Amino acid sequence: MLEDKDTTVIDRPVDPAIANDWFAIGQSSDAAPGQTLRRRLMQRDIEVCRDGSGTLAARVVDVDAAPCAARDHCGCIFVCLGAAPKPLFALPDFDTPGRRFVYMGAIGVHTGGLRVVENFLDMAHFPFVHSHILGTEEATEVREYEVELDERQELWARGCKFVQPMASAASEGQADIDYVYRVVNPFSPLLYKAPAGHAGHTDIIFLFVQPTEEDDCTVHFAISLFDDTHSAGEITAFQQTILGQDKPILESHVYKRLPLDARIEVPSRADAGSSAYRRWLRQIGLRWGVEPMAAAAPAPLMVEVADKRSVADGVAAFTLRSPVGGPLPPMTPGAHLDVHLPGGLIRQYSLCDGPADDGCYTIAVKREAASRGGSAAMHDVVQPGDLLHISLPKNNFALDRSAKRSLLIAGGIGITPLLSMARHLAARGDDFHLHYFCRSAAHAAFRTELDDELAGRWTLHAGFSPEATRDTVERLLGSGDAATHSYTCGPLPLMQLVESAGAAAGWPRKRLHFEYFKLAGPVEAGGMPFELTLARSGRTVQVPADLSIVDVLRSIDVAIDTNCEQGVCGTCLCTVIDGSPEHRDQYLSAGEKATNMQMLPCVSRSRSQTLVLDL
Amino acid sequence: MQLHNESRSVFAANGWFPVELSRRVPQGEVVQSTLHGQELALWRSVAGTVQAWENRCPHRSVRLTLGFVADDQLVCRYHGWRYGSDGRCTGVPSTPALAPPPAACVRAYMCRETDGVVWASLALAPRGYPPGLPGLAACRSFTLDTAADRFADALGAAGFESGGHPAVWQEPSGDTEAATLLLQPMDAHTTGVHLFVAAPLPAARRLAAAQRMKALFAKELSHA
Repeated sequence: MLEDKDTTVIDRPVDPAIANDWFAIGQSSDAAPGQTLRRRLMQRDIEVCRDGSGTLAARVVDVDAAPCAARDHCGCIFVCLGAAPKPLFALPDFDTPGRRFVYMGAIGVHTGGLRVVENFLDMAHFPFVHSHILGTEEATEVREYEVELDERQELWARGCKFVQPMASAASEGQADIDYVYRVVNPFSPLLYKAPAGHAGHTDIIFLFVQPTEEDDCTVHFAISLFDDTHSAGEITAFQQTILGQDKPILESHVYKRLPLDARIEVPSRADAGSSAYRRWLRQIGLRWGVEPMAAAAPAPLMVEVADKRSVADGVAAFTLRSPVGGPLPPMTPGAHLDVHLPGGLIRQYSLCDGPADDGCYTIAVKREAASRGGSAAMHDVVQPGDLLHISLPKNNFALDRSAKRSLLIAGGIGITPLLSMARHLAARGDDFHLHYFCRSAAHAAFRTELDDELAGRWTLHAGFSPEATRDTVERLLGSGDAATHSYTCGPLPLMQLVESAGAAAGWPRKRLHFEYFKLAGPVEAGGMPFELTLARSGRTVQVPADLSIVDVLRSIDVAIDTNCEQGVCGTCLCTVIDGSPEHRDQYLSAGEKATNMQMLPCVSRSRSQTLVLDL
Repeated sequence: MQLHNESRSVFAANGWFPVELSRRVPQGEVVQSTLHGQELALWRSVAGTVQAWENRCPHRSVRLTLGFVADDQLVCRYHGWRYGSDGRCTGVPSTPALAPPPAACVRAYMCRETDGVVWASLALAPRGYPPGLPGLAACRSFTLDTAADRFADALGAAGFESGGHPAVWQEPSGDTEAATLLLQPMDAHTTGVHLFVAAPLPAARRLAAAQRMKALFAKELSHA
C-alpha cells in the first residue's frame, strides 16, 4: 500500500488555515537563471524555476501541473500553494546598510514543523539542551514576558531576557540577552536578539520551516547581522552547533505532530509563548501537522471487597483487592480514592495502608448521622464479595520530602490518612509522633493496629473538652523546629485550631499540611454575572449571578468531569485562555491562582466581564 | 503506541511480562524497553528500586530515556522537569517559585523485580504476580520478528513445556542444562526472548545452550 510519504500525488486539498501562507524552500541563489529546483512542500512535489530574466515560476507536480506563487524575499525563495496569497511579511531592517545576510543551511529535522517553531520560541530549554552556551543550570528561571497576536496576525513575544554564557559567535562572555520573537506565519518565526541595551545591533535569526510531511520538515536557517569580523563559516558553525543540539530532542517527541488538545501536554508559566502559539493555531483551525485530540480518560479501576469489619463504634473498615488476583497500583501515604457507590454517588476515602500492604487497599468509613447516602451505602449495602469502581489513588496530602520530623494530628475518622503516614514513617525509621483526638476511647478506630504497630509512637487524647483540646494543640505546636512538618486531618474545628495555634507559634504555612474532605466554611454562592466563551467550540454563553460555570455548561450539554463540586478535588481543573478568574477553591495554591492559568469552574467565577476557557 | 487487542490470548495486556534483565538497568540509569507496543522508560533509583514508566514527559512529550537520574528522581533532558518515584512532577526549573502543575504526572506502570528479571504490566491491576526463577541465571537475549503467541505455539510444537506462566517456557529435557525461555511480547510482530540456564554453568555450556536456541529460532522462523 502506498503511503503519503511516497511521491504520489495526494488529492486532499491544502489545509485552508495555511494554504495562502508563504513557505521558504531555499535561498535565492539556489535557483540560478535557467535552473529548476524540485522540492517537497506539504506532501506535494513542486518545481520552482528561474527564467533568464530572473523571474521565478512554480508549479505543483501533479496531473494539472497547477501553477503556484513564488517570490524572492529576505535572501530566500518563498512559495505559496494557495490561490490568494497573503502579503509577504515586512522586514525593512533587512536592507539596513552594514547588515550581512548569511544563509546557514537547509537542515532536515524528522519531526513536525510546528514542533520546531515551538522549540524556537522556548527559552526554558536553554540551560539543559544548550548548556554553557545559551544557558546555565545556575540560572534556569524564565522571567515573565509579553505575548501578543497583532493586527497583522503575527505572534510577538517581547521583553524576553535570558542569561547566556555565549549568545553568539561574537560573544565575549556571559551576558543578559534581550530576545524578541516574531512569528510571521505558523511555520515562519524570526528572532531579534541583542545583548541587553544594544537594541540597535540586533542579530535577526530566521528559522523558516519547509514542512514536507506532517511529521517531517526541512529548516532554512539564516541570519542577518552586523558582525564583519567573523567569517560566514564561523557564524554558521556556531548556529549549527545550537541546531545540532536541538535536533535529537526534536526527533524524540513521542507525538511528532503538535498536540493542540490541552489535555495531552502540561505547560508551565514559562510556556506563555508556546501556549499563545497553540491558541493561535487553534483559532485559525489548523488541522494539518496537528496531533488529534486525546483519547478519553481511562476507565476507573474495578476492585473486590475482600473484607469488611468494625474498627470502632460506627466505623467500618473495608479491604479492597484486585479481582484478578494481582497487586493494586502503588499508593503513597496521604492518598485517597474516589469510590463509586451503589446508587451513583462518588465519595472520597483516604487509604490507611502501610508499605507492607502490597496488593490491597484499606479504607475506613464512619456512619454519618447526616449522611447524604454515602456512608449509609457503604455500611448497609456494600458487602464482602461486591465489586466497586474506584479511581487510582490521588494525593493532595503528601508527606514533605524535606521534613526531618513529622507531627501527625488526627481527629475522629481523620485517623485514616495519618495511620498510613505513621506506618510509612515507621517503616522508614523516621522521627514522628501521632496524636489522636477522639470523643471517647470507644470511638478510636484501629486501636489494635495502633497498639501493635506503633507502640510508644502514638498518644490517644480521648474525651477532651474544647479547652483541653486547645491547650493540648497549643502545647504540641509550641515545640517543633524548622525541620518539623505537621499533618492534620479531622473535624473542621480541630483543623482551624491547628492552623491558628501554628500561626501563633510562628509556623510557616508550608510546614502545616491539612486534608480537607469538606470545604472549610460554606461555599460562597453566586456573584457577578459574566460572559463565558468556550475556546474549542467558539460558543459564548452568559453565566448568571446565581449559577456556577459547571451549572451553565451542563445546561448547554457541554461535558465536564466533576467530582466534589466544592472546589476541593481538582477534577474539573481547566485552562484559562483569557480573562481573570475569581478563584474560590481550596485546590490551587496561592502561586497557581496568581498565574491565572488554570481554574476550577465548579466554584470559581470571573473578575473580568468575559472569561475564555479551554473547553 | 497503540495497544493491540490481545485479550483472548495468554499474552493479554493484563498479564505480567519480562521487560528487561535486572543487570541491564544499573543503578541511577534509564533504559528503553517495549511491551505490547508501548514504549517504556525503565529506570533504577540510587536506592535500587526499578520503575517502568510511559516513555514520555507530560510537559512536551519528549522521550524520558533521553533524560537522567539525579537525587532519586528522573529528569527530562529537554527542560529539566523532575519526577519522583510515584511519577509526579517534583520540580520545574523554569518556574522555581511555583509548585509543579499537579497534572504533570508520568504514567507509571506496575513493575516488579524477581530473580534478575524486571517484570511489568500495562494493566492498572494486573493478573496475579510475576513468577520466580530460582536456580536460574540469564544467559543471552534475542529479538525475533514474530508475534509472541505464534512463537509460543511453535515452542509448544517443538516440545517445550509451559513453565506455569504464559511468558515462561522450558526446554524438553530432564537434565539440569535445559534452557528456560522468557518471552517478552514487544509488539504485534516482535518478541524479545530471554534465555535462562541453570546457575552456575560453565561458559562453554552456556554457549552451547545459546547455539541450541539460535538453531531452534532459525528453524521455527523459517517455517513462518
